[in-house]
Amino acid sequence: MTSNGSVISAQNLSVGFDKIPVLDQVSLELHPGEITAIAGPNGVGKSTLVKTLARQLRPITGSVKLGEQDIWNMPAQNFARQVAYVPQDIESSNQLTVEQMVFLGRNPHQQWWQWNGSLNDAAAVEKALADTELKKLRHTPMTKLSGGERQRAVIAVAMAQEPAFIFLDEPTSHLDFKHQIELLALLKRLKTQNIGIMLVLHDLNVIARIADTVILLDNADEIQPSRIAARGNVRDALSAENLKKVFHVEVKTYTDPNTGETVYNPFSVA
Amino acid sequence: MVRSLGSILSRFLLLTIILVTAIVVNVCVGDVTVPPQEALQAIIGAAPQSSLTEILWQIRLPRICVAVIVGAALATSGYLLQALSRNSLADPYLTGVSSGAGLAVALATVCNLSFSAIPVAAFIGGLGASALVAFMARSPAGFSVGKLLLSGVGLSAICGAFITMILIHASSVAQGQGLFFWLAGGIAGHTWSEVIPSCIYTVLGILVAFAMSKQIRLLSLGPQSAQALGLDVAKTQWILLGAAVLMCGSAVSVSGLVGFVGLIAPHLSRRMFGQDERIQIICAAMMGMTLVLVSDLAARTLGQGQELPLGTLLSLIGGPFFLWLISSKHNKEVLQN
Repeated sequence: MTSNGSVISAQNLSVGFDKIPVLDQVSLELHPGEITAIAGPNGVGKSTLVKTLARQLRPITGSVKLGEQDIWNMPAQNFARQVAYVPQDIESSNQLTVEQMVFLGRNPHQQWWQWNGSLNDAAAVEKALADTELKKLRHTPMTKLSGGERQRAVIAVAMAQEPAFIFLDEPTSHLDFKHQIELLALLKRLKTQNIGIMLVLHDLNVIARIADTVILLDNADEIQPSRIAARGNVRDALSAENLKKVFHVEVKTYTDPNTGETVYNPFSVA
Repeated sequence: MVRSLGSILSRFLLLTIILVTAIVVNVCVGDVTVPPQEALQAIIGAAPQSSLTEILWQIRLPRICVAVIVGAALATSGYLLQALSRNSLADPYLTGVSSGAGLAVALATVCNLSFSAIPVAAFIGGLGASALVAFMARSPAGFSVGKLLLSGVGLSAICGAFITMILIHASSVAQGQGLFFWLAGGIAGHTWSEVIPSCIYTVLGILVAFAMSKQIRLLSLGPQSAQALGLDVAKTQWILLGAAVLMCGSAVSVSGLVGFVGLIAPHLSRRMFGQDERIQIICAAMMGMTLVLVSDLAARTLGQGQELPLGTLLSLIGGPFFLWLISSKHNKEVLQN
């Protein structure tokens, strides 16, 4: 793992496409070993923010720094050694096996001409396959995997990068309950390895189970770009009052007596 | 498709045997047909100097070399264009690269440029055409396949119209006729000195493709994932496009407009040899060589005294193949994008 202890920080960020901001005035910090969830209604700019922080999209104004360095002043390969990004849609046409796919996660650590990895590369791939419980499927083509297995394989690629931070864009969207629970357990294991995680999530109950910090985005004025409406721990950021303001729904909240986690029940349009 | 090493080796051996057989048959069969031993003796100079030695060294061997170069160049160029667009329907002919190169060669011919300038003109024409098509087909996720093919068709039509005008206004009948036969596609009548530049460009292009096979694999994940894994996507795409155009341009400069090799060869290679990019590049090139050698043999033996144009013959094979590819399930889905 590289650069443990460094922080991803954004200052007065404005993000969007073709110089039209979708979301602005974003300042935040992400720390290793912390899970941050981004929530908000459709079209509020959650994915756009994650793409900008993960160096997929240049900010319109403001800057994103990894440690002291602006991420756009770093070579792409150096950045990829420290930060991994798992997109929402994964290409389905390629015929690679799980192992070949996970091995591509070692690219940031290799020379451009290198095909066969070092012992370090092999060890990192083994660990990623073991952590995602994909060892048995290592020779299976990606196209033959179920939705949950594919998602795990793509996360294994990110883990093989041995990054300090992982960004995931709606990782649970195509998963059934079982696979969702497995994914959340995996993310919690990554957290214990001091990896900083930021993920876009729609389901408030999933957020409540996993997030240390929540950033709630709001598009109150549809003409103006979205803003951060609230941030903090799950209970504070996702209060019934904030949810009503942002999602325009009435939400009942309970505390699960067994786990102590907050349970959300959106029951009517406000 | 994941193939075992044994399966790949046996298929590779089969392909090598077919390629070598095609070369031997091309050496031996023609207006003067000779047994392989006699041809070999004439080539290595073991037999006394004869008209057969002359035929083999001055006509058949340069022609075989051109077939091998054109086949390898078009196949590898097609392979790279398919990797860049992430679709097996792309090829230099269909994406307008060949037509752009063709127009530039036609212009260079009527301007009486020297033969060594022709590959350069073809490269510039091909690059211009590919840049225009890439611009037309751009989308947030790289290239849109539908737009790529349609832009290629549109650009080919425009280039075709200009080439026709050049043909009409050619300064002499001989020049016009020469251009006409060149456009129909063919590999006859080249000297060794004409073969060398195309050979250098093709080898260079294949080496670039081979050296960048890991980057090709990363691109197959889509631009977002490739960038997330530390690849400079834009730079990689431009280098690979440059290599594809270089090879296509060098092929067009010696063979005229020969279509569909770049479509068929990579497709067969993928089907026979599975995913590994390094194996695919070599085998697509070998398939391309075999395809052009066999087609050229057919072009010069089936016509009963009159040679059929190679480009026309390959279009007769490639056209139906393309239609079959479009109707295949996977490509139906891709074309809807």
